[in-house]
Amino acid sequence: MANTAYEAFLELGDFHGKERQELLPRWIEAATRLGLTEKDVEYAVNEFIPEMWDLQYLGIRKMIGAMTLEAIDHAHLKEHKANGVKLVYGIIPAILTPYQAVKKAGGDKVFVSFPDMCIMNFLQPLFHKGAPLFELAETSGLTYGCRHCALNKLRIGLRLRDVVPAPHVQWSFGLVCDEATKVDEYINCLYDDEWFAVITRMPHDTMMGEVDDEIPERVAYLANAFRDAYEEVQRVTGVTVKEEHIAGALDDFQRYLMKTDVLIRAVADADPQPLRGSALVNFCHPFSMPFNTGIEHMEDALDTMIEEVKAEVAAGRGIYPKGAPKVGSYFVPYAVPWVDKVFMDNGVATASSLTMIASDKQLIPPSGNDLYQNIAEQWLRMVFGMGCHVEIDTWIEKVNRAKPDALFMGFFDYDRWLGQMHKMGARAVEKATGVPTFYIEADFFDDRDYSREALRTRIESISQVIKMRQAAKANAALRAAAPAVAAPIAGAEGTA
Amino acid sequence: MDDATRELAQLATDRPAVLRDLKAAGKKIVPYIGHFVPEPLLYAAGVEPYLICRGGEPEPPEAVLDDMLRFLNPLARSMAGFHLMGLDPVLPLADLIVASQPECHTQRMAEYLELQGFPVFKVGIPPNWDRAYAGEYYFTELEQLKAKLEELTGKPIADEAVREYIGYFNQINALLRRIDALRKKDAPPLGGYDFIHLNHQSFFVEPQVAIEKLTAIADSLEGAPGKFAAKSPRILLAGHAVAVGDYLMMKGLEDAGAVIVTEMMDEGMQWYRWDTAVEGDPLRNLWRAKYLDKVPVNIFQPAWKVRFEHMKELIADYRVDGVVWYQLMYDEIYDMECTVVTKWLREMKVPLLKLETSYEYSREATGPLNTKIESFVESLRRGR
Amino acid sequence: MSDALDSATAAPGSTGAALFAGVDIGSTTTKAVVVDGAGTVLGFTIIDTKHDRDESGEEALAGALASAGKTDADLTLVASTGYGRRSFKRTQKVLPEIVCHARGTEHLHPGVKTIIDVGGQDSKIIAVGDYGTVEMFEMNDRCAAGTGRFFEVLSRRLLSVPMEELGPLALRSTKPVFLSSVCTVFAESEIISHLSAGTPAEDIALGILESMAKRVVSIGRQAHIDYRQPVVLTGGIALNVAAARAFADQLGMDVVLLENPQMPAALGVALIALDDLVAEASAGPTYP
Repeated sequence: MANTAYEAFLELGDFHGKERQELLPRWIEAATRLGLTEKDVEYAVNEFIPEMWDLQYLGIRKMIGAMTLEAIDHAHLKEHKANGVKLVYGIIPAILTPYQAVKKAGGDKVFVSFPDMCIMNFLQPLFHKGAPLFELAETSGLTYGCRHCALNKLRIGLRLRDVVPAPHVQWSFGLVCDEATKVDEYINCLYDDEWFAVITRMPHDTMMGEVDDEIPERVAYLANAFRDAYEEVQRVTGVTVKEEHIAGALDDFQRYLMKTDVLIRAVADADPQPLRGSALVNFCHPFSMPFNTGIEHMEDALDTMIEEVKAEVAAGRGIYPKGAPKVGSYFVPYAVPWVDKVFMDNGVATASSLTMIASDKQLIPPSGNDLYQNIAEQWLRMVFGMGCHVEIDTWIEKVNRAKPDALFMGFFDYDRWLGQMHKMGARAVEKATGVPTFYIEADFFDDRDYSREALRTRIESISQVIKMRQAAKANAALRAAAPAVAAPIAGAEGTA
Repeated sequence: MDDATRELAQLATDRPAVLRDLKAAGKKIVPYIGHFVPEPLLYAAGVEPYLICRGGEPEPPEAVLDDMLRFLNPLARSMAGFHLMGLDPVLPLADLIVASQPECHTQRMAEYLELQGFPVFKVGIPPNWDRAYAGEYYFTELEQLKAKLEELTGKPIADEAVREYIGYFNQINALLRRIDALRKKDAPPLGGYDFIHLNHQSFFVEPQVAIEKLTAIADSLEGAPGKFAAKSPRILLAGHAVAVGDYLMMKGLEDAGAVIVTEMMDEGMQWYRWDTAVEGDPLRNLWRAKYLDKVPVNIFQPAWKVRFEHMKELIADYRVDGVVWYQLMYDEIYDMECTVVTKWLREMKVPLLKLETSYEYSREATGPLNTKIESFVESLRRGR
Repeated sequence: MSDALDSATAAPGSTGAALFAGVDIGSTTTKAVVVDGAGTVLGFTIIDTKHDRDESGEEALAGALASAGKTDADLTLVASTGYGRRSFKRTQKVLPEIVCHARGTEHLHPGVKTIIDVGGQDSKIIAVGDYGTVEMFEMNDRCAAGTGRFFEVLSRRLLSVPMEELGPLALRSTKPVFLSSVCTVFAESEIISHLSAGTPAEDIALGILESMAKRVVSIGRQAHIDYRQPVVLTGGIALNVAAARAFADQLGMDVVLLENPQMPAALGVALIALDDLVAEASAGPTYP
């Protein structure tokens, strides 16, 4: 039985008995370092987490536990460094295989992570407590609000608060994003001249009609960029990555991918839907950030979740009403589960995602034998990695396959390069697929400047439109089948 | 204003009409974006180049908001917005737009133009300038640009022609340096407002004409009396770009009694401090001059420490009293650099004023702008 | 000019003593000060700025003269500052307000190192050097969240409490609300939610003040302005008794309040006009 909020939080994350007791002191220390008071933890345990996450599932609780273990590990980065562990950081978006391979090669001698992603996805969706770190970055010189990406602010804030010490090497994939890699230079110039970064960037020049992974110079450039940076990472850490480590990382990736695919399909195809989209996103975190504590805890959570979802589906149970419309998105925004909740409150399910569904191209394995060439090709087929027009074409392909009742784009206002693509792409997708597409001006990491009420109103309106269209479609189908039906289905009158 | 200055200004203004006539006569019109596009190559190809870098008005950035994110810088949005409003006389004439792509704002703007139906050739600029593979990528881009121009015109581009135009642009650079050096005087005969006009106008006339006019202007200015008092506060203007047409801020500074004696801008001005080698492979020379042999632009990495060393040199050479950082709204990497520069200048005890613009110059906006400018100039004056 | 100098430097109260007037025409209020040749404040008035800024300047000046027991005929020189400084037809010297603000505040509180000014429409942070010179300054950009307008809109409108009672109300709070919104528009919506939830008005009032103080202080921090003591709070917000506490909490240091926190800019322009006159006459450093 939990005596304190801290213990209650660990219970919630499926830590019990001796395991909980042993973890407790490190957890309390971590919470303090991350800026969480006991009141914050109490609020999370009693109100926020139960409202945002389906705690009736052991899989969800185990997932929270896995994220907690990773956050605790991060809060003790200074100790790791003092003990001689080499710190290797990265940022999103990135292909994880090379990072995971460094961890496999170096074991406990290296700490491999994306600290900002880990802490952001712990503090915001579980405690809604990212803002103090954003503000710390802002009051220390970075212009407030919409001028900069909140993930970068959090990175600066973590450095300023001395939670995250300078790494031995930060390997930043800027690729299409300009700001993220400049944050390394910013931290180095302003706060910490030990902050050493190697940068992998990609010129922004794919022309309309070109396909990135089919341009040899582009693939070669990126392969060289990866090789160049990776050799530096190995040199600095003293870790030599061998074929078997890469193969191991790829095996982990493939295995985890197959399992998440099972979960995502089971959820997306189910009616009623048994799980929220934001939960699916969290289970996909091992694709967007390395877990220094290993993916076994997340994988255990995933295995449990799959069994629970299968059981719910078999029993015809769900957390949404039967027949609830399903809305797709780029990905259900990571760190703002309240967005998902508003859809849920309006009887609309979020599940299908343009990032979690693979395009046909993405299912083709890379063509060559050279590791870096393969990574480059893989990257250039991914979302984020492609030119705008190619990526929008893949969105159209995926929407035609998943056939959501509607699509919402947006939530990338402060992530300029991606936000712009969403704005342009929303129209193109709707025109090409006929799926109503709504663009929402908001930011998925920083919700300070967006009125919760205005967002609620917007999502309620979208949900109403979706349901009205769904009803109209059903009504039209019924009329086509049986023209003599007298009474229209409720809500179908006056539809758009 | 002397005759040469007046004529240069008029010729620049008349350029769109001239391009219309040239197009009717069969010439290819190639508007271009960004200074990584080598003008000598365009001229040598026999096409008619025209720099797209217009800004300073509030409506064009707003005009594109149906399809462009509000949180992109106003210059990128303006470049597309003027066209959308029917106010760009040159883009509709374009046979090809060449867009250098160093950062995401111009990238997304170029994609928007593609969606509008324009043929856009993109020149990718890898930011890792200290890496050989990155430099070679840009060189390959220049080779592809050359091939594209040859395809457009149906004629090969001779190395000799490129060398000839490199020579002309070196002459333009030398003339701009000659004029610029006059700002080192105690009582300069021109300030930044006039100098940037000369820069902008030089983009819109043929290089031989620019040489003729700038020579006359330089001759005239060398003998001219000071336009600014000897004790006017001396300003270095730094940032991303002063767009063609965006002159309110510069005029405000000099009307308040300061003189802008030097600039450190990545776009919107000729990179006149650095010449291109003439002998040898001209394409390789252009590559070198633009990519390596100059102070890096902000997006390059690493860049800020090198850029600050250059800023310090300018402060010493031009006896600068204060720095004005001109910030385009939402230009995130320049905003970050400003924070770093603010700290470093503070340590040097050099005053800095940061001015952010969204090109909105309503009465409500110009009041605070004038207060900031006048207060800064006044504080420099009294602090001397 | 030397007659004016003689008048200016004549002993205060003597028949030859002159008067310098400084008029600060702001967007919300217009202030006027009259000083003698020694810089002693003889009269001060503040009025709401009218549509006609010249008229506002005249009215304020008349009020200041009346409070000093003087008339127009006694004036040696009139100087103006503030947004409406050029609209004042009779001005003989125009100066931007930041330098005036620094000079005036230094006169009222010698040794000031940092000035935080929160007016109706803008906020300023000024790092002050010796003799009231400006070392650095920063102003808010167009966001209203760091201005008196933020406080006025949210407090007065939503809490329906007169402005002069908002400070005492805020002081009664022991548990101010935390406002996450930086933007005035969304903060309004957040406050309505608090009101609906029954949060006490004093907690909301203090929460608004703290939010505004945080925003204003961060303006200076973004510009790398060190907040050195003494820190003086000026502008209309300084009339709010809880404001100093909110700023002190943000800064972690004491904040000084002036008896007349809206006087500095008007006083400063008058003093600078006097300084310049003396400097010119004595062939000291001249300013173009």
